[in-house]
Amino acid sequence: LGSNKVHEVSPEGPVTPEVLKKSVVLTAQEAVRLAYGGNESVPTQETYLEGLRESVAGQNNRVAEGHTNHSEIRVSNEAASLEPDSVKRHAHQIGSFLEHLRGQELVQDARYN
Amino acid sequence: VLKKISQLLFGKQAVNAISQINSSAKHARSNYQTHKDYIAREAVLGARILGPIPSGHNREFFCLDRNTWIWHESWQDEAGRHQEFIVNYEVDPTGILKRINGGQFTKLQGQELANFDRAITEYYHQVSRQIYNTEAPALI
Repeated sequence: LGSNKVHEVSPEGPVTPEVLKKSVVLTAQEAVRLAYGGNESVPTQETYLEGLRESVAGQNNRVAEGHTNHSEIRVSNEAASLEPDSVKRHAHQIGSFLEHLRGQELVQDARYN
Repeated sequence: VLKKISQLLFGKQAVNAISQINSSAKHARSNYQTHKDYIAREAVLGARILGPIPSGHNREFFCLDRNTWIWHESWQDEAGRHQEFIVNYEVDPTGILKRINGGQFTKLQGQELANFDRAITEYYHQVSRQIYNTEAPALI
């Protein structure tokens, strides 16, 4: 998994007043505790679940990984160089397209039933 | 027979109106169920995108709607207690906001933001192809 260092859980902070209202810095330790239901016995590095690395066929090791201990999606290999706006745009485009597909299926189901 | 008795008791128009309402409600329920079924299927695929699921864990990762993504994971700890976390990712005008177990929002940045992008892009292509039998358009 590369480095086990917890990162990105404590972003530098909100940008707008709106986010400011909702956001506080969440430390890595708090995030781990939350992920484990508030228990004090937070797993150590040694207890990290093994075998989280697996390539999806054809993806050539570019697979996002659910890192259970940190509730953090991780990806092997590549460094990040994405603009936040492009991620937002992708998320919106993907969500809209999936809604469209689901809607089509509903129409088809209604037609056949 | 029941319909005829109802018509005698309440009048034909009232019974017809009631049956139309029932039919709409059934239709809405059916739509809701179908919608849920598709999301459930997506969630199974999505779970695998986040890597191998540890033994004893249940995982779902799915797009709830155009602005919301959910990662839910549950398992039993060594003492047999139920443990779980739910991570909400919300597409906000300010960026992608993340919230764990209903806590405070934090904004995704850096590597984690890139990882999220990778995960949803993978989801997009796999779900389109494997569940809806269509090729997803290229992302802009």
